[in-house]
Order: sequence, then structure tokens, then C-alpha cells
Amino acid sequence: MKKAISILLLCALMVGLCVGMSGCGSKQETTKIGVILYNFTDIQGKEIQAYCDYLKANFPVEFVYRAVGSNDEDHISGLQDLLSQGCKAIISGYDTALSKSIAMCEEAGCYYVVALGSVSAVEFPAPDYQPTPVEGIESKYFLGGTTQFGGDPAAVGVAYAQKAAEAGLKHIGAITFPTFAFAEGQAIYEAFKATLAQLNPDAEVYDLQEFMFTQELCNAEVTALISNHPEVDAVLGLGSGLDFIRPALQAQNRADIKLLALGYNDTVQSLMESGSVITAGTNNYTQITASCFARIYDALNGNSYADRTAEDLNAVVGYPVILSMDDLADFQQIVVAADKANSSITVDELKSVMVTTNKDATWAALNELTSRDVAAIKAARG
Amino acid sequence: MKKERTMPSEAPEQSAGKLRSLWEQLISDRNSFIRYGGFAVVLLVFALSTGGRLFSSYNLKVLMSQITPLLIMSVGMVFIFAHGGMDISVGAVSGLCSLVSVYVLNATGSVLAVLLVSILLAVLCYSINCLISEFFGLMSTISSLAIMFAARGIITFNVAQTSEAIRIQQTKLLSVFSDSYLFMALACVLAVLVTWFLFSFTKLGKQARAIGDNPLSARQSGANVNLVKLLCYVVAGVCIGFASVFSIARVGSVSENIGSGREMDVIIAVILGGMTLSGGCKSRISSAVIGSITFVLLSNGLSLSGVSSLYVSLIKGALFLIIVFLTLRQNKNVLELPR
Amino acid sequence: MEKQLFLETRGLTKRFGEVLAVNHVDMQIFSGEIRGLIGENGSGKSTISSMISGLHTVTSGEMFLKGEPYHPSGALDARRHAIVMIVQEVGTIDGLSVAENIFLGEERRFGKGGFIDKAAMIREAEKALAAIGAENIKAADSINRYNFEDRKLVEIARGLWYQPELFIVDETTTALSHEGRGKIHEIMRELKKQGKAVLFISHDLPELMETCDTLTVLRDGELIANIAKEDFEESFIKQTMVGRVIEGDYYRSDFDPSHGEKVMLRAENLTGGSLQRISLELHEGEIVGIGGLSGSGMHDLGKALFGMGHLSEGKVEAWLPERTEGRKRREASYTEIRSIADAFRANIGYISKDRDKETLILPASIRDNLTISALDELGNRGVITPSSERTFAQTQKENFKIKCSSINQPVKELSGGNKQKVSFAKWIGKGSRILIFDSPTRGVDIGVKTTMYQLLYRLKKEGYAILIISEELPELIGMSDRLLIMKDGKVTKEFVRDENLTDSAVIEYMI
Repeated sequence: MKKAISILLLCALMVGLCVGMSGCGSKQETTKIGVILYNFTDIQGKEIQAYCDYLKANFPVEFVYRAVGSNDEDHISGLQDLLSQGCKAIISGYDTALSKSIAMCEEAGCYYVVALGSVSAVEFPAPDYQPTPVEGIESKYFLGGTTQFGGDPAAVGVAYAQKAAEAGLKHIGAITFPTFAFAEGQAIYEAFKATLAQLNPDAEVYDLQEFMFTQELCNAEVTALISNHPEVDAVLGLGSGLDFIRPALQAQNRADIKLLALGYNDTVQSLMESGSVITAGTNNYTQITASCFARIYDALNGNSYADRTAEDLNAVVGYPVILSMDDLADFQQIVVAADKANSSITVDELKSVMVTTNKDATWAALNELTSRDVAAIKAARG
Repeated sequence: MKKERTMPSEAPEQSAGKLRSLWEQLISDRNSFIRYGGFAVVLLVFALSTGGRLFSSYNLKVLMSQITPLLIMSVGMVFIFAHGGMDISVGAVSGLCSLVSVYVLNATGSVLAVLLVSILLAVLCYSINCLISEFFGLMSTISSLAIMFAARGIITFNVAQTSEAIRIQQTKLLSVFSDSYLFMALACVLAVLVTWFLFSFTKLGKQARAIGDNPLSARQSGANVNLVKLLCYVVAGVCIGFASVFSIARVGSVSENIGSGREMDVIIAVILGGMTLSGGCKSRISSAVIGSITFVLLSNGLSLSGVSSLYVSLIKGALFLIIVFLTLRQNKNVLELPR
Repeated sequence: MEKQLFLETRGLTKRFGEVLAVNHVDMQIFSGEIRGLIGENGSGKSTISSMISGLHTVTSGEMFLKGEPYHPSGALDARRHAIVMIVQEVGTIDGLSVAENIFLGEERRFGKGGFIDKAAMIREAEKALAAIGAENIKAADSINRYNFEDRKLVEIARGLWYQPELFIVDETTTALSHEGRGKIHEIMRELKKQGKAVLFISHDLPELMETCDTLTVLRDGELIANIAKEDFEESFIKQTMVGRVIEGDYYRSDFDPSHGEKVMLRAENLTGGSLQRISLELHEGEIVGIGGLSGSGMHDLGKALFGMGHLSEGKVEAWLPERTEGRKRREASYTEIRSIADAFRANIGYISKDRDKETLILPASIRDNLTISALDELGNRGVITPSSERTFAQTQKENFKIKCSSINQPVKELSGGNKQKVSFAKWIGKGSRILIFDSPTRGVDIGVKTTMYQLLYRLKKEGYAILIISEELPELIGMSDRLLIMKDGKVTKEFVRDENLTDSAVIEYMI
């Protein structure tokens, strides 16, 4: 009995000590911003991290990175970790468990923005598919989503169709991510199909196939495509064409099949030179990160855009496409520039569209800046 | 043989003597030492390494929400460990209960129905587990493996059916389970009180521990071994069914690998609490309680200190081995026993 | 026969922590003689043999082997010095063959290019078995086929194969039948004839007196006396062991076999396992003894009477007095005992021959062991409070004078006698009126035995129905009102308590 009491006292003492200590934590001068992605090893992760480093050098912020799985549980655990670490804002790649995430951020007094996709205020859940408002969307802690492709995914489809017609491709398969993850895929596909039909009536575009994010499943779709349509000569690779679909083609020993890809990695240069890859492209991660950061920075400082309404749920960012070797050169020089000071958005440009640093900044100006195409950026650089 | 038992010295250096005998007592009662010592060490180490962030108001809430399901499951599992059983189906069964809870909640909107169904389903799974083991004379680990595969299979099948996630529609319904820290604390207290009562003050607990030490003697002393084991599994089932409602409330949706690995968390938690996995008279509910808290502090502290999640599993595994080693050594240390 | 000094100890001392087990013992063991070692439980005899055979380290003192200092580093080292010991517990390994058991650890001798020459091993094993006259044991068989006694013989064959100069028999005969004991006595005599030394440790005074040339008596870790064969006299030796004159009779002082009328327990035509249509009746206030060889089925009978038998025919019935079950008031009647639960309800208590493995829970406390069978009685609507347990345990501790540091002490730390007291107390405290005791005084020293016999007699007088199954004939003859002898699963003879009943009259019905 005595032993139990003495141990209990010891514990209470220690807990008291620790709690007391927690109050004397060193005051942080920089604000912590958490970043959640599936991984940081692909072009997306690396680019975002690179721009964050650039931001860190120029603003009183620091970034904490967390890689999580695609299911709700992993996402929430990762988010919880970041919140526990004291992050005051979160840049999340995805809208996984959105309502729950917003609720958790609200509880912790932290801002939340979705970087790699748009969100809608209304959803249509099974089984009756009735429109129901997404919980938490109106929260002041939720800073919105990000619409990609400059808001016009069809344009990409059109551009790619033109290149396809030029290259004389006749039998084209199409593989993408499921709609819930990549809503624009469908639009790009439709535009591509329609345009190609006009430009080259002989060409055939097969039905759109989907796979769920793993290499094995991608391989399965590619195998299916080749066995169903042995005459296929190109693939419209909308689901990370270079990271997933190209390796799948190689696995099937059909590296001869050309690729019209959404995606980019280090192999693009040699593949475009050899003609294996006809088109490529990515989100402009600099623009994405800048857009998220702008919203976060203003929110942290208590500012907001005068011209942003409740309907303006999502910001807009551009999607540079690479249709030729020249495009590639520009892309490498500007979009994925190693020195972010010469990239798509410089610090000064960014400051001009944030209310905190420029009281005349507007929501429209922000979105315009973040959806500039490569030509426009080139011009701005002079 | 002169029986000279060591009495704590009441002679001159009273305080020094008492301190030494306290130390000796702790060493000889290894289980208690690990239980409280482990807790103290983990608390101190992580309080320091996280610069006190371990106790930030937000993190305390996080700790509470992580401790609650683990603690409730662990106090139930003590009954199984106490009689010498072993179970590795905790994760799969709790995942299955979560899955069914979502369906029930979406269909009926009744929290009571969810609780009932979750608990009954878990009790069913655990009862089947026990009956398979008894009927076919299998080791409890093997029968639990069977249940684990079956439950995991049902979950995977269900999740694969729809391309959308299986999600709770009206999240507000279960919010008391995920947001009310008072409720969580009360639930923990309730679980601990009930299991402690059953374990320490009723035939069930006493006979379970006897069976853990020596099933033959327990049987000849009047314990209906099969019935006692079954009841232990039922208690465990109730706790796991109850705890899984907290789990699903926190996440709100079901994925393929929901609850995966939970069984190891429970085992490590009770081990950190100083419980011997072979059960017997030294089993205590307090092992589960303190151990769960220590475990969550450890997990949480590690990730707060920035340790990558890859290393966390490694560290947990290493800790597990160390403690098992320490509790094993207990017997070796008593050099020679008279024949 | 020239008696040469083989082993000598000077000031041999052993401590286990704080406890002094052996205290400065000066002992001599000569070649060509059988020396007995006797003492109560805790006198240090097993500890001494352990030190000589290398199982325990020596705390202080010296040992000399043929004049040279002797410090065995372990059992293997002792073996190399030609000292071999066999013990009471099982020393063979299930699943291996007889030959493999004999040559456990010595397989290399039969190594041929990385493999073991099984045929050669079996041949050697057969030779070893023949040397001790155990031709019925086949070297190639799995040891599982053989019973405890035969396995002991295998252990002996193993021991003798090493050609020991000193052969130590430590309590081995306690668990053997008369045949088994006979074989060991033969072997010991043979070794003596060959000029080897034998150290024989046992509880059984008559056995020691019969086989030994000298007897060394230990008490409380000290060597009290070395008694030569000429001076062997039972009561004198007992007195030396205990250190005082034993008051009163050892067993019962009366020869009155009367008992109550009521049949408390009866068995009719029990058949199954080793039992062959066996019947008996046990009355209130009666002590019935069951004797026989270990294979006679008497141990199974005990289990069957407690509801643990696998019976193909016959039934066991017990008398239940008038009682209330739930709300109903039940008449007194006979109820069939088919399971342990039935036996419980009929207030039958059972202490197994393997008390440590089947009746007691060694790692648990005395309190837990005492209360485990009485949980229903202690509980108030299912709730058992620690104070009710404590009171119950304390009462039993006092009633039975259980020597312990507290009721929270683990039972495994108690001496054999006190463990037995705990077993008794557990059933009597619960209120069992029918008691089945199998080998109740096995491994118990004389002082405690006396107390137990007195207790049993007192219980008989209070109306308990007691069944004692035992392999110790004197005990059965001394204590029973009626003595049933079993052979091959049947009762061959029933004896009624009588002054003139002798061992020999009984034995012929056993074999």
C-alpha cells in the first residue's frame, strides 16, 4: 500500500513538473505550416518543397512535411500529428476526409487549404445521391481548394489532340485516375476525342480506363488495353503518364507505343527527343504553392480579399503543357527552375497579390498571377 | 533448515534500510517496477524531448482520444491473457465492428443501435474464437488467426464493392464519441471499474488467473475451465465492441486496412504495463491501464519529436523484446532453489 | 570387505540467500558400503547430495575424492569423476526412444560421418538394460510406452553405464512400487559387492534399515549421528531425527473400526480405463484405505470417485443432505457424480497424488490456494471481498498451523508438509464432508506426518468420510477402518481394522 502511494505521488509530481515546463516553451518567431502529400519523392513533392524553401527564406515561416496514405485514417493521423506539432496552417494535397479535417483544424485554430484539387460546396453521397452541403466548407478556417488547368481542362485536350493529329496517330487508348480523385480527366478526354475526330476522322480513341493509384493496377489496365486493341499505337496517359503509364508500357515490352502524357519527370527530355513521348505537362507547382501560401499568409495576419465572395471557393492555377522541344526548354528553365527566384512567381510578384503586403491586392489579381502560362511568365521576365 | 526470512530492518538506519528494502521489493516485484517505472521514464523522456509540447492543450486532447479505445480494449484483453490465452484478432474484429457500425448508423441513425450491434458482433466473433479453440483443441493463437482472416476478408470484400469510401453520413451523431473528452474519460473509468470488479471480486477473474497458472489444478479445484474461458472471451468482446465505436467516430470512414495492427498495440500496451503474457496470479487490470497510457505517450511522443513513422514500429518492437526479456530474467536471477 | 574412504566432506556448508541449508557437515562415504542418509524435510540431505553430484555450488567447506580436493563444476564434471545420481522426479524425455534417453548428451560416441549410428546405440542400450536386469524394456521403443517405474529403470541404466564409483539414490524409491524398489535394492547390493560406494537417501526408515550398512542422520542441516547397522532401532533413529521423544502413537491408538451408518459415497461396478467393475462404499465417520501396486488402478479409482473418471459402465453416487437450492428446498438424496461439478456440489474434496501439479497452484499465494475452491461459499451474490478471503485464509492457517511468513506467500516456497496442509485446509475449510486423499503424506516429514494422522483421526471422529489411497502399507494398516486391496482394477480383498494385521498378510493380495 505504501509502495503504491509513494509511486502515485512521484507520478503526480512528475506530471506537474512537465505541465509546468510546457508553459515555458520558447516563443516561436516563425509560424509553422504543415504540408501533407502522398509522397515527396516525385516531381510534385520535390517542386512544392523547393518553393517552400524559397518562401521560408523570405517570410517568417517554416514548413513541416508529412507523407500520408490515401485513406481517411492515415490522413487524419497525419493531420493530427501536424496539429500537435503546433502548425498554424496546413497545405493539404487532397480533400481526403475534408469535413473531418476542417473540424480538426477549427478545433486547433489552424487554417486549412487544399492544394491539388478543387472542392465543391455540395456533394452527392450514396445511396440516394442527393445534393448535400459539405460540412465545414463555410468555416473561416477553410481557405478553399485549387482549380487546376487554369480552369479550362478542355484546352489541354484540344492541344493534345492537335499534336496527336500531327503525329498521325490512329489508335489511341486513354487511361486516367478515377473521377473522384481527378475530376478534370473526363473533360480532357472528351475534348481530346472531339477535337481529334474533327482533325482526323480515321483516328480511333478507345474508351476511358481508370486505375487506383498503384503501379500494379496501372499495369493491369495497360495489359487490358493492349489485349483488347492490339493495334493501339498511342496512349493518352492522364493518370501520371510518365510515372505510371510509361513504366507499365515498358513492362509490357511495348515501349513503341507513344505517350501523350499528363505528367513530367527527368526522362521527358530523352523520351521527347526519341519521339516516344509526344506531349507532357504538369501542374505549375510554384503557382499552386504560391496560391496556397498567399491565402494562408493573409489569413494568419487577419487580412482578406475585398473582392472574394463565398462563391469563390477555389483559386485557379495554370497547367503548362509541353508540346515541343522548345516548350520543354522553357518549361525546364522557368517552371521547374532550380532557382526559385527566377521561377513562375517571384517574391515580389507574390507580395503584390497579398493584402498583407499590398493593401490593394485582389482575389482576381492573385488568380491571374497564378494561372499565367509559360509565354506570359517569359514575357514578364523580360 | 533454519528459516530466516528477511524482515525489513527496523534497526538504527531506518530510512536507509527502508529505502534499500523498497528497492529490493521493486526488483523482486519486477512487474510493478516495469509498470510504474516504464510509465515514469516514458513520461519524463518525452516531456523533455518535445519541449513540453506533449502537454499542450491540443495534444492532451489528442492523447485522450488515442488512449480511450486502446485502454478499453486492453482491459478487456486482460481477461484473455490472464487465463493463458492469446488473441491476435483484435484489429480485424474491431475493424469489422466499425464497418458494420457505419452501415447501422447510416441505416437507422440510432447511436444505441450502433453500440448494441458493435458489442454483439464483437462478442460473437470472440465467442466463436473460443469455441473453435475448445472444440478442435487448437491453440488460442491459431483460432484467433482464423477469426482474424475471416474478419479481414469480410472488410476487404465490402470495401472493394464500392468505389466510394464507406462513410458515416451524419457525422454529428457520433460526435460525442470523438469530440467529448469528458465522455471519453467517463467511458474509460466505467470500463476500468467494471473490468476491475469482475477481475478482482468475482469467481470469473479468480478462476481465470488460476487457469493461467495451472489449468489442471484449477479444474480439480472446481473451475469449469471451458466456461470460464468463454466468459473471458465474452468480456473481451464487449470491451472491443465498445472501443471500436470510438475508433470509427474518430475517422468516420472505413478503409481496407482499418484497425490493422491493433492487436500488437494491445499486446505491447499490456506488456509495458508489466503483465506477463502467460497470465496467472500476477495479472492485473492496472497493467492494462498504465500500459495503455504509457504506450500512447510513447507513440505520440515519438511522432511529436519528429521520429519518422518507420522508426516508430522499430522502436516499439525493440521495447517489446526488452521488456519480455526483463520479465523472463526474473526466474533466472534466483540463483539456486533448494531441491 | 575393506572399506576405503571414497568421498569426504569437511565443514561442508550451503546457504540459499539468507537460509542456512547445510551447516558444517563432516561426512565420510566408503567404497563397498551402502550408506543411508535420513532426516526430516529440510534437514539438508538433498542439498548435500546435490553438492556432491555437482548440482549446487558449495558455499564453504571442502570435499575430497580419494584424498584429492574435489570441486565439481557441474553434473557433467561430477559424472567424469564417476559420481552419478538419480532423483525422485522424472529424468527422461518424452518423444525420444529408450536408447536415445540412455545416451542423452553422449550421442557423439555413435557418430559416423556426421550421422548417428542408431543400430550401435540400440545395441549398447540393450547391454546397459540387461546389466540391470531390465530385459522387458526394449531399447528401440519410444520411451512414451513405458510407465514411470520403467522410466526410472532407464535412468538407472543410464547412470550405471557411466560405471560410477559413487551411486547416489536421492528419494528415488519414494515414488516406486515394491517391485521397483526391489530392483533398486538389488542394484545397490550388486554395486556394493563390486566395491563401489552407494549413498541412499530416503524418507522410508524401514527401507533404509533393511538395505543400509550405516545410516547418517541429519537434522536442521547438521550431522547428528552415524549409526552402524548393529545399532539400528526404529524409535531410537526417529528420536535422533526429530530431536525429541515422539509422544503418543504414530498412527491411531485405537483398534475400533466402527463408523456411522450412512453411506456417504458409493461406487457400483465402475468400469473404464484401468477399472474393472469395482464397487465400494464409504460411510460417515469412516476411514477406508485403498492399497495396491501403482498399476492396480487405485489412483484412477480416486479420480473416478471425484467425477473425473472415463467410465464406460457403472456409477458413482454421493449422499447430499437436505439443502436449499435457489428457492427450492431439496430433500436429502443420493446424487450421481459424473463430473467435477457434481462432486463439488456433493461436498467431495480430492487431493491428487501429484499434489503440486494437480491440486495446488504453486505460483499463487497461500490465500489464493485456500480460497479457490470455496469461492461460492465466500461470495455474497457473486461478489467476493478481499476481507472475506483474508478471514477465511487466516482461519485455515491457524487451524492447520501452516508455517509461512504470511498468507500472501507463494505456495511454492513452502515445505512439502505445509503444502499438504494447504491442500487439506482448502477442502475442509470449504466444508467438504467426503474427502479423497491420494498419497496424503508423500514427501512429508515425520513431524508433520504425525500431525496429519492425528488430524485424520479427529476428522473421522467428527463424522467425515475419508478415503485414503496410498502406496505406504504401514500407513494404510495404521489408519484405516477398512482396507481394500486392489489388483488389476479389482478389489481382491477387504480387511477390517485389527490389531494383528500385518504387512505380509496384506501384500500377497497386492501382487
